[in-house]
Amino acid sequence: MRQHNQEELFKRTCDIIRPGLLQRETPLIVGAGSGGARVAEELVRSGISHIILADLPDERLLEHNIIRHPLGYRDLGRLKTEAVRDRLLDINPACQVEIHGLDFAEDRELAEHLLRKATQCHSCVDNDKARYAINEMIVENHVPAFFAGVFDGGVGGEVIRVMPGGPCYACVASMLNRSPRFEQDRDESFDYSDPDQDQYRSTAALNIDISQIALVHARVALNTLMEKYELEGGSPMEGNYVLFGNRQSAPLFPSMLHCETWQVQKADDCMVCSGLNEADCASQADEIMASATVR
Amino acid sequence: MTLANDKRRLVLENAAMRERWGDGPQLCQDAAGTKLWWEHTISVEGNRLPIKIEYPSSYPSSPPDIVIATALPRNPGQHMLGGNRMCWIYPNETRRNKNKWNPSRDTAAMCVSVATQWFLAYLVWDATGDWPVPDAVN
Repeated sequence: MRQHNQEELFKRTCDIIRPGLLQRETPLIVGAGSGGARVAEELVRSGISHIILADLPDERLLEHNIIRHPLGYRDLGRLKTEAVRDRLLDINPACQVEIHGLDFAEDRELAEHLLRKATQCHSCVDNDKARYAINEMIVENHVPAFFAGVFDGGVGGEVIRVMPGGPCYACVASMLNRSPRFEQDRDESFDYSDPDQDQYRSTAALNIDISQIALVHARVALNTLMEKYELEGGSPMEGNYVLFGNRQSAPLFPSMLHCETWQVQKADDCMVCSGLNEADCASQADEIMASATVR
Repeated sequence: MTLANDKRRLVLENAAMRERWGDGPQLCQDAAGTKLWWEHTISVEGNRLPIKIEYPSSYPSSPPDIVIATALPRNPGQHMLGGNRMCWIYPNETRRNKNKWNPSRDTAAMCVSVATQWFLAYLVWDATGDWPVPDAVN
């Protein structure tokens, strides 16, 4: 480890966030791709000193990733988690970076273990299956979370903040799927392609488009911490959904850098975060299982 | 966590299925009590199709599989996947579609409607050679 001086390192930022203030915070970043790596980097640059990075097992930096990722040719072929860890340590050698390779939607035991150690969760994945799995787990474990997505073509993106007891990601997604604002982006057919494909389609977007949304994501997360620690400048966020336009694209974004914050309400009938609690339905569930035919 | 262990979700799934389809669908489990699925026979214009609606291990993050529990007279090609599963959802979809799977509101009860639409499309295709529902753009 090279010589470093924490006081000198944070000399230009210590008036905003005192070094050491965030030492009890442990963000969990799910996805070490172009979005997740940037969010992790911004959090470390802001004073986070313990971070958990998770990505799919054997998720490596490929040549076509480089143009949109903070990493470069030096890290080609390496596990993204390992290479991003080294990048974070290059920024702050005193940072503790834990890395894990797992599929959040399938390896629930390890995923929940990581979540229980985290004080914030950042969903930087590129598919709904993983987002919904993360959503279920953060609701159950009462962990604040941030979900970000870049729209096709990189015209803009969104950041969703989920706080314990509030509307969950599925509540917000359900509302947005029905919003007329997204009408142009819709296709009413319910069929078909090949669900057996194991590769998710990567959103077409420039590096600058992804970086912009990742910065909004990191900003919302950091603001949440500033609110928590009652820091000057940490104004309460008026809403749980940020819609950000990188470029003009009607009807969503009437101008470039268009930004809106919405408060999406909790759905009373949301099957993830509302309604029945586990204890109330235990005996009913036992009856259902007892009546199920054994094959 | 499997659905068998997720008591809250199990109660909601059962209530949704009973409310929409009454006592028709039958809930089944394997001997170990870890896998759950529904068995049901759908009927379209006198044609009957037995199906199973299976809960995957990642349920409800992933939608159920709809399995055709009989041999079809003709193979509908791309509209049927391995394991006799109906092709009914496009998991790589990134747009904000109303009809995307959403675990906050969707349950296996919806799959009975989907299977009925799929079976109707199959019958039209069998008679005319045209599948009357557009494929997703990949």
